[in-house]
Amino acid sequence: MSSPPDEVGRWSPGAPPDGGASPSARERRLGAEVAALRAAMGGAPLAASLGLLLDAAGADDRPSAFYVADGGAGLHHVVGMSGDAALADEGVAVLPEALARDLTAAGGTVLVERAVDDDPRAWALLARRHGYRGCRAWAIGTAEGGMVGAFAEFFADGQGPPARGAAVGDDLIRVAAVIIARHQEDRDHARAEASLGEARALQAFLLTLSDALRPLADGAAIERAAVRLLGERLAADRVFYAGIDPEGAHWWVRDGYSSGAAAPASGRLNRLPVRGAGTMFSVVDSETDPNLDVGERAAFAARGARAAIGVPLVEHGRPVAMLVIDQATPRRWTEAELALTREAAERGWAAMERARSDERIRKSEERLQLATDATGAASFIWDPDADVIESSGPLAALFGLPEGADITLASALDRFHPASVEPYKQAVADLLDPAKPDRLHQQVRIVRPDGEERWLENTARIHREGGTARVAGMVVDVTARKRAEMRLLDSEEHQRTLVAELQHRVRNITTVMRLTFARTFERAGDMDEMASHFRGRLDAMARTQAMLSRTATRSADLEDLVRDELLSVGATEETGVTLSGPEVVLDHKVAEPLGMALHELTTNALKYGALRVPGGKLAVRWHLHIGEGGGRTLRLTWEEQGVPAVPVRPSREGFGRELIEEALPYRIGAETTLEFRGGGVRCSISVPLADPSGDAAAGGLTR
Amino acid sequence: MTLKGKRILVVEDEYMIAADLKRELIRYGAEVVGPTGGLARGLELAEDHDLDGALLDLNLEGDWTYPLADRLDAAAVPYLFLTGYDSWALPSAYATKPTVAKPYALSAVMGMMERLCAGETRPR
Repeated sequence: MSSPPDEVGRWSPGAPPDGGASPSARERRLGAEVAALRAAMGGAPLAASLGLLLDAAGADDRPSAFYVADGGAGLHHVVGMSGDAALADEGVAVLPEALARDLTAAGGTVLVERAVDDDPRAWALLARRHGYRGCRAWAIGTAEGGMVGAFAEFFADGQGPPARGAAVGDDLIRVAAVIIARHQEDRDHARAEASLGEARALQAFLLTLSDALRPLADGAAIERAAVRLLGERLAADRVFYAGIDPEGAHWWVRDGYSSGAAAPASGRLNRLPVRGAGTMFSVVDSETDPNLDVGERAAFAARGARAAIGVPLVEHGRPVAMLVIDQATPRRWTEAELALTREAAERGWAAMERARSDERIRKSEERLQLATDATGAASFIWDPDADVIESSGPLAALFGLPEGADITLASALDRFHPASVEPYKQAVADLLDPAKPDRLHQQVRIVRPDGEERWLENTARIHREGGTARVAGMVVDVTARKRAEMRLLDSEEHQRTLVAELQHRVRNITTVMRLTFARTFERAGDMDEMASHFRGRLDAMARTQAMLSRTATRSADLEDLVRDELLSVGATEETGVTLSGPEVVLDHKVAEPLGMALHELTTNALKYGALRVPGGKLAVRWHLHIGEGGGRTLRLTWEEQGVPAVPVRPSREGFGRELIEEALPYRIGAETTLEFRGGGVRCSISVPLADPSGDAAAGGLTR
Repeated sequence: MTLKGKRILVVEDEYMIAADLKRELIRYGAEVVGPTGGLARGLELAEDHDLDGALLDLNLEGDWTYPLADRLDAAAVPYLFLTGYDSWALPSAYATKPTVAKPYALSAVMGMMERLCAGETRPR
């Protein structure tokens, strides 16, 4: 690979376009391309697939290499040139970014014909470093116009570029683009799944935590359970809650967990870092953290901690308590660990809040009067027989009613959101049933008179004495907590849907590509021709996908679809093509198979029909037919003229005919005709468009 | 083992895949019912034919084939889901059903179909 070629003459500019290689060399090249595609589709590593492709380039031992863009502007060597892997380390000489920049500036191909020592371009530097005098580099692009990599050949001679390299290189980079895209798809897919796994692990832990805290009745027990679960989950040395004294001067440890590696924290703590109004803090190493002041650093040292996370609980704008995670050694906390701690702290506070509410209810039962809560909760006593509610605290305000308004169960239910009415009635019926539990715990959605929706949580207990019953309970506004919970659920659900849709789409397309590959190569035939057929079909699929991905609704303009396909073989108005029809927007379901059918028609016209013979004409016309029920049908005709006599077509052309005559009716309920007649091909396609719910794909498969 | 004489329903909206499955099933001696890419048509075919098995694409352009799966379950007809999803994306009631992920190996699909038709409930 590294020795310069000795036969300059093989590269002479007079050689035929395909390079004048012997038939066996050409077959070897196409064979290697097919093998590389097979490897990539089978999930081989990028270096392995591209390495197989290099065999195609290396048919005459030309030194060459593949480089792949790593997300930024840079290019990194993948396979080919020994010693290139160290490119980034010798950054001063050949910056990977500079390789990419030079390719972009040169419009995709850089040619260094004679690397004189003062040629500043990166590819010239690279050629010199490898001991060559010249180089030709191609950008490997995507259908969207991005650059995903580069292919380079190096040559020793100073007389001029290798003429045969151009055609071979153009072919190789098209195949390489498919392989790199496939590899990146796999990688993106794996990343999306990994991040989903992380989110699910977080959800699972929070669920465990909530389940463990729910049955606990008092605040101290909740604190102990929360710090233990969190300590074990994070493998932390120490986890504890600290409360601040009423003067705000000192922190006191309330309840703690210790792994054994650090002493349990106890008693008075000198200082804890408090940031602003009490936002969460994290410290990687207290000895070096510039955000800690001298006193805070000393407090870390005094309790034997080097790293920590703190989540404060803020009430009325002041921190009143803090959850602290300590590590005796420096520790770089991950984003996931910080998120988990924040979420766990919030659940812990909520559970403690609920425990405190329960405690208040217990006390009120003794006095048969519930105390008003500073957090805006209201207590009530309800006489179910008379439907009379006696309340203390802002019960009316919670429902958005004027102070002092009379509230009954019936008038309260008027304010309920329809979805909450039946479950609440059932819960009340259960509460009144002596055979069922004597407690009620319900979250209800209400609509205030001004239209605002709120969530109220009602905790109540029934007392029976003689023949009378009284229900004592408490109502708390939990809208903020409820909204936070729903946001969490929404984001997880959204992420699941996105990943699932991505999976579905990528795997369907991959399957169709594989089947197209198999169908293209199933019969014996000329390798060169089959490979070019397959590349054409892949390119057509890629063009349609690129067009669909440019719109949010995954739709394509019909004229663009036709024009792009014809342009890909250089057919335009100047070469006898006429396009006419109104603007028609196609959804992806119609655009995908129609794009393939148009590709097969174009390929046929180029090989045997109007796009091949001088004076041949092609007209593509379409219109929309509106049926009696308002349903829209697209009617498109493809008509070639001026083609003298249709030669015998190879049997492989049957695939194109099948796509038009079988796949279009099956997939999108189209009616099609395809005739090869004097003057050229005539094809008509009629597709129902405006019936999204219809069973358009109900047709059978006749072959 | 063989699928000789077995009546197999194929429901798959992608033509290339449907044609591939049909061709291979016929090669294995099966009698193919369908294929169809429509859920309503699939339900009709299941109603009109005495089936030995079925191959169901999970998602037909947004239409899930669960109603068809339920009907086949009720008639004790074994079926195999073809899917682009992982099992975690399926509703839990179907997460344990026999499933082949796309892109599939034809031989694996046929092997599972043979074992399903032979009465195994959870072929591997």
